[in-house]
Amino acid sequence: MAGPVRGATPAYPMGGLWMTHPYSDLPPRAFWRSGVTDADRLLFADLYRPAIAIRSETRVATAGSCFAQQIARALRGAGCTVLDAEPPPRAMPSDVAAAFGYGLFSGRYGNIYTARQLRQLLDEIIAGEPDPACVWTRDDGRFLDGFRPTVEPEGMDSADEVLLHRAYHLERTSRMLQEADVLVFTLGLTEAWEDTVTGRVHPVCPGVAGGQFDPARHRFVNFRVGQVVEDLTAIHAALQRFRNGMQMLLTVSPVPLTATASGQHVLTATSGAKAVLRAAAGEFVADTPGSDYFPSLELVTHPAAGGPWFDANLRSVCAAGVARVMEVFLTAQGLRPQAATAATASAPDTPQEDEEDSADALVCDELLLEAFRK
Amino acid sequence: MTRLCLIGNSHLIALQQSLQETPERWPGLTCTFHGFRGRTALNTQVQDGVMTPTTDGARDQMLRFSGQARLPLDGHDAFAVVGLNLKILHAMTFWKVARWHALPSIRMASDLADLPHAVISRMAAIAGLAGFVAGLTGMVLAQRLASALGRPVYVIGQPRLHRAALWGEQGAFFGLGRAIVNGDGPALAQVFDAAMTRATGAVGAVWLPQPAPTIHDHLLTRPRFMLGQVRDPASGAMRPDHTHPNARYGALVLDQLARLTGGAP
Repeated sequence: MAGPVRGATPAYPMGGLWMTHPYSDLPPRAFWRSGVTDADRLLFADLYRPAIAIRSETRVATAGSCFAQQIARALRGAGCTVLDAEPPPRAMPSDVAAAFGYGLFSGRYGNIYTARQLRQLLDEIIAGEPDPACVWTRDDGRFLDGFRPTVEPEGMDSADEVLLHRAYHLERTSRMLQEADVLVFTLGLTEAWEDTVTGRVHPVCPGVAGGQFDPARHRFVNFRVGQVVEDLTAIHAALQRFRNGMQMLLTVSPVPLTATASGQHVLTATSGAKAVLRAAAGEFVADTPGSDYFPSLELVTHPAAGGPWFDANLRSVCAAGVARVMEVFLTAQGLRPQAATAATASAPDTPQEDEEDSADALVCDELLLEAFRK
Repeated sequence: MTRLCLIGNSHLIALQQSLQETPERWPGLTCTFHGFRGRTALNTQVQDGVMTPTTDGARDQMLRFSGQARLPLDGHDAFAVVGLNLKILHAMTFWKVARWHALPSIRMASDLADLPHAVISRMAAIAGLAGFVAGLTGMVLAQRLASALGRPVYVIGQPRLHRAALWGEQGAFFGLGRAIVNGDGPALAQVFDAAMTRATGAVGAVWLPQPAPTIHDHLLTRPRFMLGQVRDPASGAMRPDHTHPNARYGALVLDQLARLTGGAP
């Protein structure tokens, strides 16, 4: 005779008695031995079960700290549709484009390190007007957008130019978000500097990459779990205004803090920040349908994940580490990196370097022959 | 006496002809000319002061245009890279797909976000164009010469198109008429020269802008400095040419070089 059955939990005989408990029939991934110790810890096949499916036709928006760039790159490399609100001009070389913040994320917003920063950006987009407080000046007299100071490494000519570009950025980002099925957001930091006059946080402390630090005006903030959850919830609500049903896939960047203003040692500040972000992501995902978490942080920093996956500075994730994280992500999503095309070694001995030259090639050749024939 | 070595494509001919016609104008200059067409100059190497080909095609051209497959370069005081696809039309290509704050035409847009162009900063335009031209034949050759020979290297672009190109296929293709009518010409020319100055500086060379008297409407060249027509190699008949400068133009460029190299009278 079968023992008592409660819900879907089966019962098992133990010592002549039928016993039951929630761990009895859990899958191998639920147990450390089968899920970690005895598992293939390079592939970690069952570590991440996507609740949000990303297919080649899924329109993905990306944002976040610098590690988010890797996700965008990997998705593009796998043939996915990663949206780009502000693509660079066709003729701009990729290294220059990257230096000017093009193609790194789905908007040219630069690194968005904190949930508060993204929340405020979305609020500004919804308001539809650039915040004039964005204009920073540099020591050399040039101008920057204080909410994305790194996207113009040489600064702009005037405050007007900054505001024109910010208005364009907000509108283009708005249009991009209206097309997005999924936002992949990589949480990077809990620390930020807030302008107490505007209430806005900046991605870097005023005075570091432009602007002037004013201790009476700029305030250090270190967001706690509840605040990050609140910001994520507000972000999710705002995203629904751009496109109803947009999903949010969260990750936490494994990259440690460059510096902390918290008064702690930078190592403990890093652990604290990542713990806060990880906890906030977990709480948000647990409470928010249409959201998910991908464990970049665990795949790079957990001792069970192997490694070390950092470069010699113990901060930058090494190329193998990035590749490994992205392989886990893509494999779980049923995606594969696509092969790159091979480069040619030497230039052809033909006249074509652009359309214009090819048209006049014969004439140029003839002129040269006439003038220089030996 | 300054010994100047000039390496370039068909745009080199204007300089050679001006020197042949009035050698007395530059008594302090001795010039050697080496021609290459297309991208072939890239298929060379400079070692121990000698330029040698790395492909059969480059070897053929060196024999055809210079009479030797080993070009001794170390006896020269300075070098000039001429033409080789360095031209303002690359700025026009940028302009076709991008707009920046300094351009008057950007103020004509009622909604920037609707523009089919990328809206970029002026510095991004300069950096982008500099990055683009860095990969072109003339700039790669300049870098190679500057690093291998340790002598001054001057970079001279192809002239702007003949004014008549405005009404031709090239003018339409590059939107020259629209740029001039919109008032974008000065800002475009400024970005071009700034980008070329940056790109040449990055490879240890010096950019020589097009001589001011030859420029028309910022983006074109005055007809009296251009060939105007050339013989069509296929038919043998003369046909319009909007690309190549004449000896009068070449003389102004040689004047620039003479001043910079100390070869001026």
